[in-house]
Amino acid sequence: MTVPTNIENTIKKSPQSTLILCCLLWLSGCGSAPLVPSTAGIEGPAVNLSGAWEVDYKLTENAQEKLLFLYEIARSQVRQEQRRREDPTAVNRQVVQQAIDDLNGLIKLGTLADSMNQANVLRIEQGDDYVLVKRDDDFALTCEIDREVPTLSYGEEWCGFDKNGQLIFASRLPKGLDIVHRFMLSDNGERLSVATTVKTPALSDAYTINRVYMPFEEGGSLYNCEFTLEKKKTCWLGPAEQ
Amino acid sequence: MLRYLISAILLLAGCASAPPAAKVVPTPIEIPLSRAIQLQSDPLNVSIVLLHAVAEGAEPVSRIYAPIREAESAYLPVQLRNTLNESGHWGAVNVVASEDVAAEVLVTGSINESDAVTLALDIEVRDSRGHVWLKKTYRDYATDYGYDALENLVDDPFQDLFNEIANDMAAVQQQLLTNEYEKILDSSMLRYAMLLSPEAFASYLKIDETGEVIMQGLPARNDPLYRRVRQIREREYSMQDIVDEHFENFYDDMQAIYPYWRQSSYELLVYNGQLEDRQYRGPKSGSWAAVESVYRTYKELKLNEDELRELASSFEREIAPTVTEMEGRVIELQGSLSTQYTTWRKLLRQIYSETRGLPPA
Repeated sequence: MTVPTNIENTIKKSPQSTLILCCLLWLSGCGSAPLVPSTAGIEGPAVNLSGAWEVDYKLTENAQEKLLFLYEIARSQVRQEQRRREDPTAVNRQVVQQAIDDLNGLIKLGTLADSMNQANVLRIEQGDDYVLVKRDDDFALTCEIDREVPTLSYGEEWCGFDKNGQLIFASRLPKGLDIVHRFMLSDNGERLSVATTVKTPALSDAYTINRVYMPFEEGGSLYNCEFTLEKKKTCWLGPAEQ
Repeated sequence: MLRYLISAILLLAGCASAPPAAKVVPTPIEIPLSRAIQLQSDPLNVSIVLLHAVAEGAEPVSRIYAPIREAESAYLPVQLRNTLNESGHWGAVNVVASEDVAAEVLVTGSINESDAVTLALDIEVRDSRGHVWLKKTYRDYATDYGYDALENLVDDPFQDLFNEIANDMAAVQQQLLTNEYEKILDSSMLRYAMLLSPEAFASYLKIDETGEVIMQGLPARNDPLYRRVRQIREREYSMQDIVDEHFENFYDDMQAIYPYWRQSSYELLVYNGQLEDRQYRGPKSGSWAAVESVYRTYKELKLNEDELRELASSFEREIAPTVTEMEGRVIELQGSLSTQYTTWRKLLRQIYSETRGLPPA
């Protein structure tokens, strides 16, 4: 399923699509809270997240469908407006163009966010002062918990538990690209939600994608890999070697 | 109206960011390596000890990055060794796992600062007499040009730093008088002899509180015990070569990852400084291609970090036992390189004691 990234040709002038777009922006997960946490009130108690987690497809939202949904609603609304409109003014054309650009950007942002939160399996190692989240087919998220909370500048990262016991990884990258992963454990400890929020200055909005994980016991018939200097990365079917 | 409503929503959702502070570094000076025009007949040997991962008083490295810093502490000495070899001023140059007081010239140090833009090493060089040749912090800054050259692995972005250390060492060596040079060789051999048998050789030299060696005599050249020490030292050299080879292999493995990790780090550290003006002209100024490129660089950096972490932990975990032959005996040394070396020294002492009919020390 492919979502067109350029909807300029489809969405024409639609000054009355405001409310729909507002809804879409709300659906996409934008919020008024600062994306990268500030120093005040961020350090909270550590919650034990260690173990092996696999994605729970029943509870995980499908990023592609979410984007397609945004796109389809916008397109149908524009069509309605096109039928209703008579002779739009230059101001209206400009306004619509702005809306098109924003929506276009939002879809690109959503695609980028989706690419950052695609792991099907998480293996979390946690000690008194650190958390290591190994993600299949992606880089590990690493956190030294007792570090001070800095004011992030570009190219910097911070991580830690907030006052609600959510584990936060925040990165502020060049070009104003902000990425935040929030790990939230359910009350019964049976589900782990990972919300990835992305924001760029190109769009004043943030986009959030959620994945939900459930614990699993690593068994004997799994696919295992090991890195050694001698053989580099080798993988095999069967139990992990001791 | 649409624009104002959307703007209002975006305003509610958005968070303004302060312009970043770019890292400003001095323009590095190119330092060419001073090469020996004529090879010295019997040049001094150099031992380079693994660097301390964190210099005294320096900012501690986070637990997450500690394995990478540990890897650097073995990687950078090999780079210095290669530079010293290339200069042609020295005899055997080896990287060793622990401090060797009997080394003719010993290089020790620690990493004061290491990121992709700045490398600072606290280096001390002293000879077997205990004379300190150099004690200073060497610092170098990388430039774009340094990382461009990396494409072909021509040169390291911090090669100037290693050239500077090598040049300083060569300058001290060139100023040595003949008798000083001989004293270094004699002190080295006597200190080694003292390691094997303090009771037999302690009377020949004293070491004062500053670490300076005061020679009080020399054993006769044909002294059988002294000859035996020389023979054993030859075996010691072979062990040093084995240890050095381990570090060389580790260096080669790191070459496949580390330079690229540093390059990605560099891009992230300086990228913003170069682009911040354009970035803050307005919210629409950043292209999606540029944003995606930033994330690709970041992801590559992180994947390289993962690999470096694996590599660093594998290095210690996978050090194979060293099997060697010593005077008709097959010896297997286990554990880390440092442990293997300590065991080896104990064995040599034992063999020496057996030769003299003494109980092992």
